[in-house]
Amino acid sequence: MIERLYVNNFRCLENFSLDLGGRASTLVIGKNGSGKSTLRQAFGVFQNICRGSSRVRDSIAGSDFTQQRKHIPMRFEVELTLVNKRFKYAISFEMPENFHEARVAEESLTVDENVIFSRQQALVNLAGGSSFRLDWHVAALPVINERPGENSIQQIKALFTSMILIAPIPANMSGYSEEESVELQHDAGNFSSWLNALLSRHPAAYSVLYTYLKSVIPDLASFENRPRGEKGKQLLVKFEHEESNRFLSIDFKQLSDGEKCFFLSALIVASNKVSGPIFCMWDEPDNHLSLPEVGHFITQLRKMTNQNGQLIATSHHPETIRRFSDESTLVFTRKSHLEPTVVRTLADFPYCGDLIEALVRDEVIG
Amino acid sequence: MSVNKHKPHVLLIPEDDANRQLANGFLLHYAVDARNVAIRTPAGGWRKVLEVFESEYLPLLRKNPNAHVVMLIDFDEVADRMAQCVQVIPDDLRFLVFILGAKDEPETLKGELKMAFEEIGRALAQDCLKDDFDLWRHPHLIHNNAELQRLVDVIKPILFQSN
Repeated sequence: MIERLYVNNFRCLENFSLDLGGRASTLVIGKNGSGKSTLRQAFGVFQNICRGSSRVRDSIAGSDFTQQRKHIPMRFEVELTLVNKRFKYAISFEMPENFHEARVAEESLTVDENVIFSRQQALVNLAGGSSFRLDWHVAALPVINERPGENSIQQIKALFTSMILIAPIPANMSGYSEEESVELQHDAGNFSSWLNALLSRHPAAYSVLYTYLKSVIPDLASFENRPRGEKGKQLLVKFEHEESNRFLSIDFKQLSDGEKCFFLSALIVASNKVSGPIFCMWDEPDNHLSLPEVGHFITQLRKMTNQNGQLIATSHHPETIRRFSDESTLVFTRKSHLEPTVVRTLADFPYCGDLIEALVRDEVIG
Repeated sequence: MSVNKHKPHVLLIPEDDANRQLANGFLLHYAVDARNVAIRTPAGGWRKVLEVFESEYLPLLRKNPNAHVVMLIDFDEVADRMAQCVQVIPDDLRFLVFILGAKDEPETLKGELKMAFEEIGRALAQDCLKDDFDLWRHPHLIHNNAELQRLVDVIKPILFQSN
């Protein structure tokens, strides 16, 4: 579980500390431009480092330094608990004058306060006392191999890689795939690749998926892949009319945006259940859903925490906001575009009467 | 909030945000089938709960035999609050309607237990699941005992049906 995130000099996040300790599911609310989506992008920095390219420029651009303050290091720290161990990973970037891309200034990983590695610019020091030099435009975490019998680096890399950080665009979820992927893209465009990877590794996930989907799409009969093209597969969804025993199969891409979100949510819940705890940050999960479905949808996602999953959602939707408590809701505020994001729990804001009415009156966020 | 109207379901009317958060916690318990419950917008006072019940939910109960209503109110240490509430429920529908709440208000209970509302809600659900009503016997909740017995008979099979 991620316990704490610290970010400095990244867009609107200055000296920003997000304390998630004890919050398995969290809602982030705030006005437009308050930094909610930037939070997802901050988590994305850890993910980018461990997915594919470890090159700094693929995660950080010069324009990401707050108000172009490139003389101040940009810093990211995350503290988390994995298999009863406390991990702390930190990385900071700097962009000296005349540099075209940012470089790593410092980087370190500690587990239960034991240093696994530390780094100053190009010089990386390992726990055993050895050291080596590394291109300062490349993060060390993904390239360091541990000694046999140790797997701390592997564990934290696996968590960063598998984080689900999404702002889905249902139009991009076609249901067509050519290969499996364990890494869900931010727009969920590779949804079916992710589905296929989960089902091939954990076939039991199908029953979890089906049970979830059947509860929200009562006429669902089944879903399956059909070969399409030379090496592709197209996800088909089959519906049945019980009374007349008639069936209808349609391409996944023909489902409504909301129905695609049901599939995505079902897959996240199933993945958490069969393949271990996941960390999910979903930007506005209520987008595309009909009003009566929002509350159930959010409750199902929050219930992932019963199996040690972790959820962060952002929202402006009253039904979503009502599905969280004052303690599990964080309020992001920002006085202007020149001021940083400030975070407080909703419990710290005294409001009168109904919460939603108070939000509409601008009494809470102000 | 839609539920499957063709199956037994529960329509919950919380008096305020504190009661809403208690209900949220109850539904987050792993064994509770949250899809069988619809939580309404907080009514804004116990009298409003009764108004909402009479204007919106009584017609629903008349129309649909699968519907049940739970009103979550504050008793504000008023001895005859329950009697006042029961007055608005027609005798022939009383078996479908339940009234629960803290003796004073949930904030007092929260202060005494030093637990968040959602934690209290989850703990109350756990007690229901295990038929071990420890927390329900708390001095701020014990007055619900008669309604709780009815709930266990009628509502528990709806909420915990897959267990």
